[in-house]
Amino acid sequence: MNRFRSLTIANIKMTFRARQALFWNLAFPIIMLVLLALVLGNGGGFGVTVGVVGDSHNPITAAARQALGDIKDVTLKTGSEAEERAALKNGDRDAVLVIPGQLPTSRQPVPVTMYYDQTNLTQSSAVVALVSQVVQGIDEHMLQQRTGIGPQVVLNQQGISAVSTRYIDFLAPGIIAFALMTSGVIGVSSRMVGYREKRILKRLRATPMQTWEFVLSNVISQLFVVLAQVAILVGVATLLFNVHVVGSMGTLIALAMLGGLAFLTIGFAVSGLASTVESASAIGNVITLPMMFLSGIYFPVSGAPGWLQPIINVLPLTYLANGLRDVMEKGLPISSIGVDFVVLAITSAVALAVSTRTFRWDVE
Amino acid sequence: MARMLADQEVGQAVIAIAGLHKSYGRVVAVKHVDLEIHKGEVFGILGPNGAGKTTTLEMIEGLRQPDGGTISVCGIDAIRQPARLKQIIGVQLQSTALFDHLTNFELLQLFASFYQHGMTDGELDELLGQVNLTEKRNNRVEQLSGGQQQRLSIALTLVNKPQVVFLDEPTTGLDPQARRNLWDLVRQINRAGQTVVLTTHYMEEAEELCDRVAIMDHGEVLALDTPRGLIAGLNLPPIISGSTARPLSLDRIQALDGVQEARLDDTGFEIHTDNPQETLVGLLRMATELGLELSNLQIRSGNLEDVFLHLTGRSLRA
Repeated sequence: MNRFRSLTIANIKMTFRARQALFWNLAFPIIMLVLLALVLGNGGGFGVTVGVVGDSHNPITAAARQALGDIKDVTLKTGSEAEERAALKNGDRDAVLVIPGQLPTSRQPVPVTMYYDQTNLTQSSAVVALVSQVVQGIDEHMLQQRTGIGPQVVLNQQGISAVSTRYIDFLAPGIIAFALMTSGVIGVSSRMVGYREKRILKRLRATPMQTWEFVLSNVISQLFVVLAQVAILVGVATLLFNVHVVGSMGTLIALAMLGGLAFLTIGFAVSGLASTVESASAIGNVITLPMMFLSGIYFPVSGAPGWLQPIINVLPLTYLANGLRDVMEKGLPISSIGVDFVVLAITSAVALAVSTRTFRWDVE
Repeated sequence: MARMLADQEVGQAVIAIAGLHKSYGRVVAVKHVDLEIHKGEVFGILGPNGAGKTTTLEMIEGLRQPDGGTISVCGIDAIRQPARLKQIIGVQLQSTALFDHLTNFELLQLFASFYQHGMTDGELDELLGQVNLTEKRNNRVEQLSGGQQQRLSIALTLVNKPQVVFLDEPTTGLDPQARRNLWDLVRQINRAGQTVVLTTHYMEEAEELCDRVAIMDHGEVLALDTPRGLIAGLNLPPIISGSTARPLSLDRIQALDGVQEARLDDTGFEIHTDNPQETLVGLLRMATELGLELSNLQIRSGNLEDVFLHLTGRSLRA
């Protein structure tokens, strides 16, 4: 056990001392995240879309429309309650204001309900403040006009979780998935082939070190890389782009670890197939490039042609990226993303089976 | 089997190889080799590239599966019990690079941790001193010179205090000074009681360093003896060589007592003789008469190069 512990510690040291590999594993995904978010993101600026539901003969509805429409940054939408609430759920509205069609005959207060997207805290608190202010203004106006006999307007607030439409919320989980894939497939395979080319594997073979100790210690050190990648990328996304991880951090890490395992076993399999570091990275690219584009890392692939869908649906990266999005963006629990866990576990098992057949200690 | 091993231990054989055979496809790398290596000796396997030295060594080290034959190292069956074998041997491979990103001391610690009886940190520091790398303790491998890397790689073979140390062409690619340093290191290891088995294609290395040498070519052991024994077995006439300021006369040299054959060039001479004493006296008298000074005067018998030439009809260097 002492042997295994020393080997693991040495592996972790070597992994984190290899500057070039660290650049590709950590710095490069950060650069990609920041650049893509800046170039393709909606570029910040405060824009709010509010849906108003209500009968236009109702003076409160009319007043709300006018007041909201006067604000420069607000885009006003109108529709039935069902339509508007669906639009909110899909992320097309920041808030929906529902005003009863009939004003009460007596002097009872008029209940106005505001539904808003609570997923994005910064955005929602601004929207809530804005709409509350508008409603309060209407309330005061009514009081003035009818001097005490006008209806009192009461605002109920109801937060819901909507799907984010911000590009960064889509991109960040994608970049994490991408980083785990490349460090696993290309990083691990070129490291292993390098060891073999330099006869380091053969030298280790001449000691009593066991194969499982070697493999497992490398798996563990690579999982530390996975942890670092998740921590740093989530950190950058949170600090620079206000990305909010809705779901549990534990689920996120568990999924990332399994994804990391799937891709590092693919890396081991590639190292058995390739004879030189160059051919390892060539094979690695053949495996990772199609996934990079077809698994919806940079843009959604739900709109891809029908014949592509079966291909998209067998790529392990699709499941890792979707799973990470479900956790980070939608806050889904582990039970709802079981498919992603199962697919990544199967990928690991298949790649492990291939690696045990192809792994070679020596060049010949 | 057990009976046989016991007998070998009585005979002080630390390694016993019988009928060892290995081929790659149609190419036979090692042809039914029998060898016995004694406890405490420096044993050399000398031969040109492709002679089967490395294949033989790697089969003894448990790194290659032979097609046939038996190998016993300190009573352990190297073919069936590679795990036990690896605990008690130290292996230096031909041209291994080491892990980057670890310091030299961390590398020694890592390798020591692989063994049941690996050295302690204190012993490893002593070992670093022994291979003259104390100053480089906390440097990385890539900061070492060729000779230093080779010494570190030998230190790595010693971290389990092995009974047998295998060195595959330990001095290939080193400059003469680094080579001499390494020879000293091998002698030190051997003095400490460890059996050393090395391969080389340098005949002077085999001659300087080895107690016994097996000459190998095309997968076969052609001869096995002490370097002196191998040379003596050839019965080569001694050779007197030297140089002079002015050329000597070939006729006069051939007229000297005992001369079998003589070669001359502008300043040097080489005389094969069956009576070195008479030839030398004649040569000195002649030089005095001519008022010539003889420099670089040497008498040598044949060397391993001559032995190899005799056994294979080829030069070792070719």
